[in-house]
Amino acid sequence: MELVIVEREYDEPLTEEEAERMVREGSPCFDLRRVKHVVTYLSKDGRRAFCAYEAPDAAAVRAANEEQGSAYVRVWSACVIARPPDR
Amino acid sequence: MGGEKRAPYRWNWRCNDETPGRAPASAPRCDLVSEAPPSLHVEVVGELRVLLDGEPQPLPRSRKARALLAYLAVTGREHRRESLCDLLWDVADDRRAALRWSLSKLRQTLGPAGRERLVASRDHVALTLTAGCLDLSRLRRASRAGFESLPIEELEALAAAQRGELLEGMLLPDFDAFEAWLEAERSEVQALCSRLSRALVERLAGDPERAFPHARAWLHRSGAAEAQRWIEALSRQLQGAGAPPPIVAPQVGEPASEAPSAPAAPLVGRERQLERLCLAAEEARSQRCGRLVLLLGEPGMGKTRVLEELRYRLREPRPWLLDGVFHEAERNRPLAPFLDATRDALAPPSSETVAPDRDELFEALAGLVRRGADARGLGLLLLDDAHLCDPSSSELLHYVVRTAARSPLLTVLACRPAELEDNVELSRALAALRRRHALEQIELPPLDAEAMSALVTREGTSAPIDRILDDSAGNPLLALELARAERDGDEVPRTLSDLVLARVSALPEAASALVRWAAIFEHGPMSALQAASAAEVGDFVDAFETATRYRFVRLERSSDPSGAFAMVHALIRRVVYEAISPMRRAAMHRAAAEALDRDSVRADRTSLVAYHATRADRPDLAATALVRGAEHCATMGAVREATVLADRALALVQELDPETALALELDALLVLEQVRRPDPRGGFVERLTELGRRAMRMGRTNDARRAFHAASHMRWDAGDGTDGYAFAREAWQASRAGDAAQRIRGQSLLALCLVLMEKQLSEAQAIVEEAEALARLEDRGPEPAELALARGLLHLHAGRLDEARRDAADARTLARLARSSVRESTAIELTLQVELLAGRRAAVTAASAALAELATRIREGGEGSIALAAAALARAGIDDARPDLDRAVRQLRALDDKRRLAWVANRWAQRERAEGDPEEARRLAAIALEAALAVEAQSEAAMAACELMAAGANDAGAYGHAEEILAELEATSTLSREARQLVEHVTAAPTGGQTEKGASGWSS
Repeated sequence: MELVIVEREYDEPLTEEEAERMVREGSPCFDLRRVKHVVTYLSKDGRRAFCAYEAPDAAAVRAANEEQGSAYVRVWSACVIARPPDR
Repeated sequence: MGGEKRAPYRWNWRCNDETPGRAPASAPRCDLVSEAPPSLHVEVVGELRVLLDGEPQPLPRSRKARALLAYLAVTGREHRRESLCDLLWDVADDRRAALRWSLSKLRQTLGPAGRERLVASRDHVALTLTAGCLDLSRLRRASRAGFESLPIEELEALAAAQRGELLEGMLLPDFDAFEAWLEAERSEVQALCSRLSRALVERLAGDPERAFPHARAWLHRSGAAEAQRWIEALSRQLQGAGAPPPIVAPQVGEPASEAPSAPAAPLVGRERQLERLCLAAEEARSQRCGRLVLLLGEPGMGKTRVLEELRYRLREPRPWLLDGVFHEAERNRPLAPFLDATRDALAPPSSETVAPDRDELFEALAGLVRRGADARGLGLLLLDDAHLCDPSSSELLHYVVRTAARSPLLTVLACRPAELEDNVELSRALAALRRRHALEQIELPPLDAEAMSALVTREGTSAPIDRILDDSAGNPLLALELARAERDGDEVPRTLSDLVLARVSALPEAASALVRWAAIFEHGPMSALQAASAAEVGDFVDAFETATRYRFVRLERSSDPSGAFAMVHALIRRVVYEAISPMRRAAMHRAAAEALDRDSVRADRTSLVAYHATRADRPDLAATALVRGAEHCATMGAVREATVLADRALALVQELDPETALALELDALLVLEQVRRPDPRGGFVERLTELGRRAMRMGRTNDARRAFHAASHMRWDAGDGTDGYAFAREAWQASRAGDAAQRIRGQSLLALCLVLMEKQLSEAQAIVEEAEALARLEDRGPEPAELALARGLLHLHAGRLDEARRDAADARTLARLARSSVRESTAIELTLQVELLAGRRAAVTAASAALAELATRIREGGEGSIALAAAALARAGIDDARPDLDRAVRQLRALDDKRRLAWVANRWAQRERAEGDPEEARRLAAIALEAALAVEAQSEAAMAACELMAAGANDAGAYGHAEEILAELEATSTLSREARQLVEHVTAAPTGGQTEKGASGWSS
């Protein structure tokens, strides 16, 4: 499985509650494509988000987001260079 | 070879490791190592410190990096990278990367001088410090030389340099090997320091003032009886010489953190115990060390009163104070007294979505205690009824005491002895602490006649002391109750129960009722007490004041705006509580639960709600509170508590109506799934899916989706793809329930997704047919583009090219109507695949151009690369095609689009094989196979295996591997017609399918 990062931007600021709800509710598109949410970071102004998923490839994450109707700017697979050692 | 690689570092062996028996006999001597620059100094006895030119350097923030530095410094020899990884990192981590990262942080800390000392090769790491650079080395060298033979001044300098235990505060509780090593090293250093102190005491016997601090240090480190005898002897010498004894009684003055008012009456019969506590506090203060005391006594023996007096006596100089009480009702709220007491001092978690890290929380709390104690010169951690301590608090207590060993902190745990033995977690924590820390035990025995006389006399009773002493058996609480009853002229009852109840009955009616309510609550927010007792504010305040005056209830410190209360004594509370009839008790608990539930905005109050609701006839409220409590515990990482609460909730849901039960059962199971990680092959998944189906029948689609979602991930985690997809499909269907149009669209999307994933194709076919039937029935206008696409892809899979072509065209039109560029691009991709198989070059070129143009207008993705590759494949000569195919492969790799990558690489491989370049075909087929297997694209994987077999026929190993993969795919998958044809072709060819041409011929 790959670690896939999704960069998102919002014209209308997203609140923490909205972001939390999106994460909690998830989407069956993600289940079928074996895309599993790992973590989301939301900028303090609510206009940018950074989501990490585990998935077979980045294309699966793109497709799942499209099927769910979630906009994104970029999707890319990543590797861990220096994980904080205490984690 | 490994041995040869190690040779260059062999000279590091001895360096700072001067422990006899550690360095190999053949190791070179220290003088072979050049002295480190004088600027670098590492201190490990006490908290870890690195000094450059005498200036302390900031240490890495990471505990692992600090532990690595400490381990390398103390052991002083080279280590294999793998061993260091085993020692400090989880298997799940990217361990070598973590080690690299930590080493880079160490280089920053050690500066230029130290960097040379940190030698890291590909396989080994060592930190070479000479004796002058490491405090522990000096201590070990002096020990070997013999403390008795060194000058006293040198020994005193050595003693002064000992800042505490080895690597004080360092803790990696989840890394047993490191902890075991640290424990062993600490014991060794502790023994060394004790020997040093002892040598100093013996040699300074004629100078008691100089000897005394070393005797205390000796006692503190070893607890040796001989050290105690030396202290007594030195004290006598000092007093005889007219000097004040070094241990002084605590001063009395203004209180510290809060302003404890003077106790209502003098303490009677507990002076000795109180003095011992004050002495322990003074030792903690003067020696700047942690002290731990167990204050043991049966109910009513005065533990709470002694703590109250201690707080009052130690109010000057102002200590840092954290006091808390453990309550029976809150045993399932982890860390309750700690979190309540420090709520304002600790920053709240940054976001509810991020679960607080348990280690960080422990360190935050322990750091708060240490800093408070260090800043004020004395910290008091006073915990009453500690036998009710929850498992998390026991762990925290252990952590605080360990890490504050060199802070002036007195920790007092007031416990009932029998209940303490029953508390397994606390007993274990205390046993672990006892091994390395002095743990003093102070018992509160029955009062003697003199103390009893003083106690009851102040109550103004004329009752004979002997009788009260006999009746109370020296229990001060009981004695007081007897004296008060005697004083008030009541008929003197003989049991504590009668005594207490008589006093409650004698109160004004409102106060008497309030005491009963308070006994039901045990403790809690004032607003809930008032709400449950349904009293007017004025009456409530009057009643509360009366009950306080009679010492039944007291105010508690709380962050609750309305304040908080508690029964003054647990025994009295129990008496009052048990006197309430069971039926009334249940009704009162119900009112308490409802009042708390109404009042509750904080997750941590759910424990109280659950406590009362389980004692009332409100299983719904209890189960809800238990589940919320379990979720709260899970977010705090309190696994045991979360599991207990979730299990209790599951036991209760059987009593609830089906609708309420369903959601709560699901919530509880999801908590267990999170914290307990049940066996995915066991009955847990069945229970989840059964719940999901029940939710579907009830129309609770969101609950159904959550249940199937969890089930699918558990199955996937167990490597069971079939069930994983089946449950994911059910989750999908659950979420798409709605009106006809929604269902048609949902089914179309599901079918399309399944076909694109090449999963459950017969089911996908059935879903398509169902959606078509529904669309005809409802006549809701044009069908969704997804339905036409799913149909077209199914036709393509089955090799029905004409039908697939028609559906692709329909899908493109429908996508345009729906203004969906993404769907339009999928439709064109379908066209490309159809026309490539049909060998229609012109159609491929046209579709490629359309797709390339569309790809520039939609978001990033592999569509443009597919257009590029398809156009290249449509060209006549392979030489013309290669550059674009190569570009497409590189683009798809960069985009991490494995399904499309496999598709392009497979078709390119076919062309290379047809053009007579089997080596290139093999390379491309290997790329295709790897990508296709990663995304479970079975047909593409089978085609790649075929290509490998065909191109690598002369390589038995490669052929065999590809054959195995192919056999498995054929057995478990429904391959596309295109793949099946290739399989038949390759397996039929005697030489492994060295065909004359590619998979398909071209026509104009």
